[in-house]
Amino acid sequence: MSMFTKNEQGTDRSRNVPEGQPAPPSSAQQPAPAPSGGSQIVSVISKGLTVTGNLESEGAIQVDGQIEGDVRGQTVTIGEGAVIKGAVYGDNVKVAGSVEGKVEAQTVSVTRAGHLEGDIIHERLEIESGAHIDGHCQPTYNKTSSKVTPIKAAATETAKASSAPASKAATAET
Amino acid sequence: MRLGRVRHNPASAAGDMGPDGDISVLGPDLMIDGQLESTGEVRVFGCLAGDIHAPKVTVCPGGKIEGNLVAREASIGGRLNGRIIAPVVVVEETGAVVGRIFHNEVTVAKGAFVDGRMPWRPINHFDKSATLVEELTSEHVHKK
Repeated sequence: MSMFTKNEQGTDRSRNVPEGQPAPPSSAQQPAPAPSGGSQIVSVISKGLTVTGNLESEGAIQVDGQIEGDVRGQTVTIGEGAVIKGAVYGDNVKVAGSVEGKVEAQTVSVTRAGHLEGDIIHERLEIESGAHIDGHCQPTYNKTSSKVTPIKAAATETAKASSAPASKAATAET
Repeated sequence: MRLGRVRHNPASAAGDMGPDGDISVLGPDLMIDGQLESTGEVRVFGCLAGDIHAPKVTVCPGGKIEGNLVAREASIGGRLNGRIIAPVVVVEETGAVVGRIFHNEVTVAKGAFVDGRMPWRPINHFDKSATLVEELTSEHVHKK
């Protein structure tokens, strides 16, 4: 299960949760993987959700809401009605909503409801008739450049910074 | 059509219509660095570094929030470092809260980890946005 094998998750639980804490309750309470066979749950930013900041996932992201910031994922689907003011990075990006910013992915697909104002850096590109594109389409997608994950580093550092002093205190007490 | 399907999996409810709007799911490998504001329910399996304002927030086991949570209903089954401001708060057995819990009704399950004050507030207190801003920023004890 990805949620229990993450390094930061392991460190945090050992710090905050007292010794002898029973393992999290029965697996029935944990979400089962999606029936499609994927081992990850699709993250969904629904219509009513507005995010002011950056998102990053190693899995699939479905955006139907509003994002002011960058989106980075493996498979990013921007639904109709979604509004993104920022860049979108991924392996596979499908744009059916509005993006004000560049899209950088291996496979980019813009549907006829898509509205894209920004460059499209791709390896494979598909644009349906009726899509609104205003930007430079460049087939210069380089896979290695998308592996840089500054957002994850920032979030992990926040976690580590807050856990480091506390873990010292915990070991001093015990 | 998803609405008619029987759901055993809370995560698969994403996108369905709850009473306040669509349900959002932040998957286990999702990391967000920023503020969230929703008109619908939010289920957090991943990491959020920032505040969240939504009618109902569930931090699921494995989920983590480093920031404040403002909601009508909060259910914490994961980690939260920050303030919770909600009339109804439930801290599950797997939950770990470090920070104040401003509540009208609170439930802390046996085995949960809570480190912080739990100031009670009357129910109408949560309706005024001005008082919420004060709670998020105040450091002193609220005098009665």
